[in-house]
Amino acid sequence: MCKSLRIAIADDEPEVLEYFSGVLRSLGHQVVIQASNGRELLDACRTDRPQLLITDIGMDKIPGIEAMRALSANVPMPTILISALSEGDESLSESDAQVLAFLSKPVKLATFTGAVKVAVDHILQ
Amino acid sequence: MDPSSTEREFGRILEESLNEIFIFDAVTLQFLQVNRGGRENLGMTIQELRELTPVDIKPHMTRESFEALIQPLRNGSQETLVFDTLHRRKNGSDYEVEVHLQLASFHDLPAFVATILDTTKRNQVANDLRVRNRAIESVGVGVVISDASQHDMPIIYCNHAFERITGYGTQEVIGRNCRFLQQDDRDQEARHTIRETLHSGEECRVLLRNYRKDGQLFWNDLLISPVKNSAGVVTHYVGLCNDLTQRIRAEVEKSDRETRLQAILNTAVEAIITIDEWGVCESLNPAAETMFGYSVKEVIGQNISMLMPSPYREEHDQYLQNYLRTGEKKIIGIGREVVGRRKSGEEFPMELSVSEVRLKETRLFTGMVRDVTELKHAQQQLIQAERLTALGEATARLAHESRNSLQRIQIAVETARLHCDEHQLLVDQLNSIENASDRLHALHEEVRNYAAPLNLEFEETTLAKVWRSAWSATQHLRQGRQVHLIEQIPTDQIYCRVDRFRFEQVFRNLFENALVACSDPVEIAISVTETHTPLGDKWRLSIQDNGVGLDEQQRRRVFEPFFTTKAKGTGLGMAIAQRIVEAHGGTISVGSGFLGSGQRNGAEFIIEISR
Ligand SMILES: Cc1cc2nc3c(=O)[nH]c(=O)nc-3n(C[C@H](O)[C@H](O)[C@H](O)COP(=O)(O)O)c2cc1C
Repeated sequence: MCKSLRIAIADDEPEVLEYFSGVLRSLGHQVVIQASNGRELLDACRTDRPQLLITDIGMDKIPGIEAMRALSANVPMPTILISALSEGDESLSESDAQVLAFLSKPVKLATFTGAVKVAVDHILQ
Repeated sequence: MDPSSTEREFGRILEESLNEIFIFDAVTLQFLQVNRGGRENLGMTIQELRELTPVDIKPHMTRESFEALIQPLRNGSQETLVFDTLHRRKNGSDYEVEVHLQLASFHDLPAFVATILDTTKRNQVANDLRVRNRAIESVGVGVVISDASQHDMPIIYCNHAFERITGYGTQEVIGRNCRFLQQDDRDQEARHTIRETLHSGEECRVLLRNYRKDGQLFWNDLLISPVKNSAGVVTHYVGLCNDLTQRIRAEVEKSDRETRLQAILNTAVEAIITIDEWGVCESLNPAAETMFGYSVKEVIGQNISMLMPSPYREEHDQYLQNYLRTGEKKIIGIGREVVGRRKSGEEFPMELSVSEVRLKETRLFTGMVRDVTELKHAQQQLIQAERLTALGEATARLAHESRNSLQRIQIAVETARLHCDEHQLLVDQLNSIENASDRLHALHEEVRNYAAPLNLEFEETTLAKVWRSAWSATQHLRQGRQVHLIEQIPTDQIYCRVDRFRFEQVFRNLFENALVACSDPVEIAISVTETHTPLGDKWRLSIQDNGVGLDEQQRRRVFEPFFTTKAKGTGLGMAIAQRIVEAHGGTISVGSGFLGSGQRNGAEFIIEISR
């Protein structure tokens, strides 16, 4: 399937992680990495770099946003950020151009699938 | 005439002479003869005197000094000797004498003849004059004497004080008429008074503007009195000058001070009340009248306890007497919070500080009173505000934390939806859960919005655009209802620099409230006027509905956070609106709700914002 992406997803809420992974799979994508904090995410990505990253902005150990920046140090890592803070967008800087969407919790299914669709188009164009 | 009778005759003349004549032996110096004048003045008989010598009646002389004195007569180098000395009477008193001494012969024996003048009187006059002169010189009052017999009454004398007051030296004033002190300032009523009195030869007292040598003005309190000779003709005038400048200045200053003090008392925000030792009110300032609601007349002469509620009212006299007796202070010099009572009977918290003023005979107590009702109120509000801040922070955190829970609800709902196979009952239930969750989310957002700092993005826009956009956003609330927005505006060009998004929220809150409060047909009127204030030009917006309006409590508390009359809602809408308007440098307040005709309409809110 040409529109299938290898996706890494990170969230410290296991239910959320499972649910969004399920949604992604049902959309035909491969969830190659499931991480519950930034450190796990970085470790996993070292061996298997995904095409798209979907991560919670916060999380303990390394926060998602920092993991994203680390992964984008050389080559930009297309990312969808999810936040439980609505003013989280203020923590984004100009250089965070790889952020394709910023979703704030609670995220509705339609919003989520919409954002993923935009990302797919962007990455596979 | 026979020589002895001539001699006798001559002796009789000597005896009767008013001068005192002493004859004493040239060798022994013992008195041989003393005439009546001498005997009487000394108070001694001739027998007593014959035992004495001149040295015995001269308290300042010794035999040696006297011998030395008369030596020139003895050796014939001098014929007469005149000297001043003192004579001592038998009773011990002294008198001043001028002694004329010659060597002669008495009954063919060498003897001294002394003629004595009692100079006490003569010296006294000179002495008196000297004393008086010195007195005149040393008094603080300026003394000037002019000669009335000469043309234009020239000054013939002035004392030291006159020199000091006028700045002129004696030599500069002698020979001139005193009017030179007026310099060019001749238009003075007092001048005519002086001329009249000088004419009639009487005394007068006037106040003149005079000028010192250095040109400085001084107020001269002048007393002019005539000096008449024995024939009753005025020969001199004496002027007494008093420089009143200091006193006049001091008086002006004093009245200045009093005026200022009065002004302070009159304008003081503190009530200031004085009472006497018996607690009787002696004075109170306007602030006290306002604070207690009594007029001055009603309080003065009354016991101060009338301004206190029970039980202080009953205890006060006792307390005061106790203080006067024992000096035990409960309030004086300390200040504390007590309770006052207004004429209306209302009791209020007040801060009272009392100071004691001791006068010669009695003492006064001055009480300064501050009505702290407002302060207390403000304090309570502050406490409330602090509590709200804490609450706001907690709520914001709560809102944040709930997002994850809301997310889980969302996920659960959507997952369940996938599995309910269009089962209508389940679909409805799931929709209902999702709606409730959305509503909860919205509420949390509003609270968080209120608690979060406002960062405004200003842009130039017209307010009409902003409220019309807000109006559109209330579309869903107006569906199926009869609602009119009535704009009464001078122009569409109501330009203003605002954060459009935030200001729209203000209008939206107002519209939403109106739509909830009013029943159909609803009319919401927006009118805009320009106002000019010392702080600049403003737009004044009135947003008024035709509902039941606000009651007293609502008018007072409508901007308080969490105050709400709606069944739904956080009670933050108006608080947020106020916060936004104030962040724009504007104000929002509750209007009277009266239409032009005086007819009562619904709720009215007034927004004022700089143009
Ligand atoms: C004794 C005496 C003292 C006077 N002292 C003053 C004086 O100190 N200052 C002054 O302005 N005039 C003084 N006058 C008044 C003036 O000399 C003068 O009489 C007055 O100005 C009225 O006269 P005129 O209108 O001709 O000036 C004094 C007058 C007299 C007789």
